[in-house]
Amino acid sequence: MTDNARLRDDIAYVRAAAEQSIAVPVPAIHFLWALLVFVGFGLFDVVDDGRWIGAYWALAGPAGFGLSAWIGRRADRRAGRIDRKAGLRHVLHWAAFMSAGALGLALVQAGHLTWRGFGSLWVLLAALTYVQAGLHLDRSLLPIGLLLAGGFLVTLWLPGFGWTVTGTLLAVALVATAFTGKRDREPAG
Amino acid sequence: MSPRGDPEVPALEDLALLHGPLEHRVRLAICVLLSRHDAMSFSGLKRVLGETDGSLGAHLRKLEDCGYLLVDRTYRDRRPVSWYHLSREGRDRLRRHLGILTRLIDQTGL
Repeated sequence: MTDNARLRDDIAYVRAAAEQSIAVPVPAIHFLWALLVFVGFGLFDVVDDGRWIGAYWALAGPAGFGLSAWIGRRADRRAGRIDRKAGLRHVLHWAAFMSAGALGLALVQAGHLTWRGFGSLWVLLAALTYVQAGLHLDRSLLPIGLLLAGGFLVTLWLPGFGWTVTGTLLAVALVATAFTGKRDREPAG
Repeated sequence: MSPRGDPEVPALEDLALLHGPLEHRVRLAICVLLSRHDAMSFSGLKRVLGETDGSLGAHLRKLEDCGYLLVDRTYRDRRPVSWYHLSREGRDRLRRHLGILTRLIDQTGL
């Protein structure tokens, strides 16, 4: 093998190793959010008082966020990696979404939006956040963002069970992504 | 810098660096991986690189002996886990090594 060929071969080897070491989606986080979304979206169609829906998301949102961060960190350690900068990037990304959602509550308080309108706004914010996450953090989240963007329109114009339909589709998409995504193999020890 | 003073041409002492500990592709890959993550465990490196325990251990020991790597030993589920991370010297050497490689690739059109 010539020096050039060996150098090219070595670079390909290092590049493949670097790509293999990239963190992959953690199925448990997708399952968690599929459950939270399925219940939380369905509530819009079965509960009349929007404050209960607000209370559900005020509890489920931060709890799911914290649990996701814990599961993600644990999965990284089990895969044999510690990557604080990447972890912080994920946390800040989703924290920005939660903060925007919380600030949006002021629209309801000021009388500019109904609880249902706020719910639709939340779906739109989630769509944007998932698309951004798909572009910058984890490509598998991009279809979920696009699905949420469609779901935003469904929540506005589909009469009856528009929220349930959106929540179900989203939950299915999250579970499907968990099954189809690339996975870390568990190291021997 | 080269004897002729052209920053685009690697100097002889720079080229000599290519024949140091990072000449072997597994050791180079280990350092590149550790530059992308804060730390990786022995089993994490083994999974990514597909090396045997003996081979990977020998490469890690060589890098550790050269002062490129630092190791923290912890326990998980009562089993010892070795976490490797790049030392400051290792990071500097890797940066120089990759810089020279990049210039060589630019010049040879690899």
